[in-house]
Amino acid sequence: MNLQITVGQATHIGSREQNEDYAGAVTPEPALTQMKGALLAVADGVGGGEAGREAAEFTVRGVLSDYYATPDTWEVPYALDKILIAINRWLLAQANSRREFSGMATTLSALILRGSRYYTAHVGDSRIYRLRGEQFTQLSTDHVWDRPGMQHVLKRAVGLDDFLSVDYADGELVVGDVFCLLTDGVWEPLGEKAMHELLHLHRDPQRAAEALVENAIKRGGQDNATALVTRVEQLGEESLNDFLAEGKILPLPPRLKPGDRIDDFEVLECLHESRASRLYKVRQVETQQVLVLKTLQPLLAEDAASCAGLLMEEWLAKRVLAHYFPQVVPQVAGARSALYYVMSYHEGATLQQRLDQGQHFSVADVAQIGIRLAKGLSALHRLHVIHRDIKPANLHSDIEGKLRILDLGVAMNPWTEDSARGNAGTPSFIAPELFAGAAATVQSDLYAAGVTLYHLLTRKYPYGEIEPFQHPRFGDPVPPTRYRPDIPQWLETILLKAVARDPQNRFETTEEMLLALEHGEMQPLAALPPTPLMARNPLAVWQTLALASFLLNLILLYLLLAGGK
Amino acid sequence: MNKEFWKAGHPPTLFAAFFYFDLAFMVWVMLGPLGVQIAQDLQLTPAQKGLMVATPILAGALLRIVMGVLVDHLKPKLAGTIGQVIVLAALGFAWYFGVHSYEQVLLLGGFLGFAGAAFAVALPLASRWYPPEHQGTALGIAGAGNSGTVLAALFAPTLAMWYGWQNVFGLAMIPLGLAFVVYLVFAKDAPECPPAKSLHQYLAVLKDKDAWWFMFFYSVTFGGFVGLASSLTIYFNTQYGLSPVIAGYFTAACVFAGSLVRPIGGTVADRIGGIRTLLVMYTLAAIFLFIVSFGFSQAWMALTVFVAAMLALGMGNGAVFQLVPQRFRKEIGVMTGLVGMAGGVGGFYLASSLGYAKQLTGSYQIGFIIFAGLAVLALVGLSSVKTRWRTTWGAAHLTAAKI
Repeated sequence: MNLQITVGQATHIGSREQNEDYAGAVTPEPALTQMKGALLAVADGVGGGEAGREAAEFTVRGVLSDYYATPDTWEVPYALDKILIAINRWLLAQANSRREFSGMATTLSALILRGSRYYTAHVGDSRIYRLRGEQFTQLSTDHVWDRPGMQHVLKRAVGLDDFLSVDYADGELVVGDVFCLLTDGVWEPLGEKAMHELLHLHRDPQRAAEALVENAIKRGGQDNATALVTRVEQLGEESLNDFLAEGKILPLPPRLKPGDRIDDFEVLECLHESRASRLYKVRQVETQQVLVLKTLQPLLAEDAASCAGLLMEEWLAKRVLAHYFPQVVPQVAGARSALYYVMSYHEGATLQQRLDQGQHFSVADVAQIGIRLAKGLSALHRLHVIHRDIKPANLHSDIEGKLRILDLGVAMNPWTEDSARGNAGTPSFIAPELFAGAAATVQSDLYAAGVTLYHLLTRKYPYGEIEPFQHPRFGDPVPPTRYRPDIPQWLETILLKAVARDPQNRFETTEEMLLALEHGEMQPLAALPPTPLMARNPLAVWQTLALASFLLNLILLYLLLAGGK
Repeated sequence: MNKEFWKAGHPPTLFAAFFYFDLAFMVWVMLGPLGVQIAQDLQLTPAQKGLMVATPILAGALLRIVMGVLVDHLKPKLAGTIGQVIVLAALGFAWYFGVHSYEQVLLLGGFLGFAGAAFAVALPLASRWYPPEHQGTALGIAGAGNSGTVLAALFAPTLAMWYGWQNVFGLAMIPLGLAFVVYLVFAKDAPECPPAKSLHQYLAVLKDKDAWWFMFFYSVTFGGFVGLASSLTIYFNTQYGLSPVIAGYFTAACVFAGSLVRPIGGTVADRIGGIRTLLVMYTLAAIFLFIVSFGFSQAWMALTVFVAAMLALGMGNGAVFQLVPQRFRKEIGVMTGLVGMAGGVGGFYLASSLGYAKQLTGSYQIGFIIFAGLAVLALVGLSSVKTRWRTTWGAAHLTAAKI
């Protein structure tokens, strides 16, 4: 079931010389509506001459087109924010470079309807209203100076200053909801009561929009008046369901042996087997291409969550297009007879396999691996995906020495976020704050990256090896030079910073870690001071103090009594 | 254990379950402390003595599965009632008609197994009342009934000296009857109960290699614990010539140490890791069992070493059950049954093998050495799977039930 809406819009120049309002709506084809949603935006430009109109139109057009070009893995507010910041910067640059554009800025109110939710983005004094049953609610707040005579001066707007702060909100949709996006030329002359009545009078959004604008002008509105009205006719289902439905139909393939065939693939060997998954090296018969086929253990056939998990993983992996990852090979819809997905094959071995074979990693090797790992992670983090299981076994280096990050099986993304799966990952590589129940972040991925590099160099872990189901106590990490004195100071500092117990002390972004690794000895970081016991475990300090004081008192009491005799 | 906990479930049921469980465990192992006197009267050989104390353990282990099925199909309260009636009837029968032969003791031991199976009744009875966040505490309180084994060792030999061992069966019916009344009055089935486990589920979980490992590991730790609990009275009596009463006290000390540290073992495992804890505990248990096999000149020296061994085994029990519920999140009910059964089988093996060792070689040494060997085997097995377990099991999830 797809989301269905009807949209209507109207505008009037009022008694101004030109219309500085601009409105637009996109209702894309069903597949895209399901993924990204329908987008409506209204802007009211300010600034002299052509500038106001220019700013409004550029902003609305920019948002409407760029939003659909953002990665599917980004959540709505994040995607809108990225676009708006870019537009803001562009407007400022224009205003600075050309005199006729100076002072150009615009309000913006945008609404995205997707699945069964709506999202709003708002800056300036246009308004977003929602009519639900008898409730007529204003969803936005005007960003104007609340002072007599200044109610028209914008506090915040696109193009106003370097730092753009947009209000984002979201909520559930109900069938029959009517949303309207209005510029001040409409809402000011009409007032809420009149708007409410007009929306009740006209069911058709186009009629409603026209009526709103006509009445605003009739009531003496001088300003440009623009109205965008949409009505929710039918709700969409939770967006990934259609995609996941396939998993309920497809069976799991049985245990495959070399020589077996599944669809168009001939099994060459079983590459890897874990509790949940199996990876086969296969050859596509048609193209003779060697590929990797990933599927689940046959035992998990009845486990719907795992089956959905594999589809999610494929969905995510398809969107991670970077040469730091194996690439998913797209397949014709309906071509699979079982639940699996196929990705590119690369000759080589994982770093864990290399460790097990006894390979020695030099400082230069590890620095190179670190740089490449940081680049890959940064590509992933830019897509708003947290890997959650960075470890030597998930890093593959091919025969040319190119590093690839494997296994998005537990990767987390706003789309796939699933509290039931809890904190996945491998205990020794899981950041301390996750043991306390915090959610995985960029910092926890960087922690895992730090532990990975540490382990490659020393074959030890900074806080010792951690077991499954253990709730360890974290002290200060052991400096890697204790195990391997040939590690230079700058690298040790980077490693210790990456694995810092407190996420605040770690690298803030992957790029920061990348830069530190690339600069290396040229620009060494300042080393972190060791945490005093007082900060690490204040309770223990006070308990020890109290105990010591108690014992001292006992001794004194004894001395007092013994002395009294 | 705060106010919230007491409001969350049904405290009367929890108390009744604990009381029932505690006394059931007391009768389950009572043939051990009485063993010396029974053996004298019935002229039993060492091997027969071993088998006599081992029978209830094995019966308890197997009946645990039966009772588990009953709990699933009849609800816990009715299943518990049936179990208690059987035990009371068996004790009453033994007391009224007397036990006159080796075969009759074994038969009685088999019926006492129903008391050992109380485990499978009391824990679900209590824990089903509690929401997941309080289940650990509820299971801890109900599970403290393990201490019943100490009561048997403390009182049974003295009572046997005063009134004759046949009458101890009758005397045991007094507290047991009291517990039965309390149980009937206060225990109540939880409104919701999980769907019955099918045979298919038991077989499915056995396909997982890890399930077998856990059964083996528990058969060493719990088997050692319960096997020693049953055999030590006879051992102290034969080896060091202690009177049955003193031997009972010595046994009680060992059992007390072993059951007391069980929750500590769980906590330690939580902090430093279950696998690491078990590695240490197996090493210690193997060392102490090996030392004790050579015998000492003084009984108190042996006692010290046995207490040390029991501490290691008891903490090992806690560590195994720190891992099981988290590793087998979905199959926890089935796994608890299977692992518990394996523990009983281990106990049966140890208790009977000690008897046979004495019979065949004239000393207990070989029995202890073989069991120490099993601990070493567990150590080797654990070392061989630890890397796989550490890297593929995932992290600590929300705390689950601990038993």
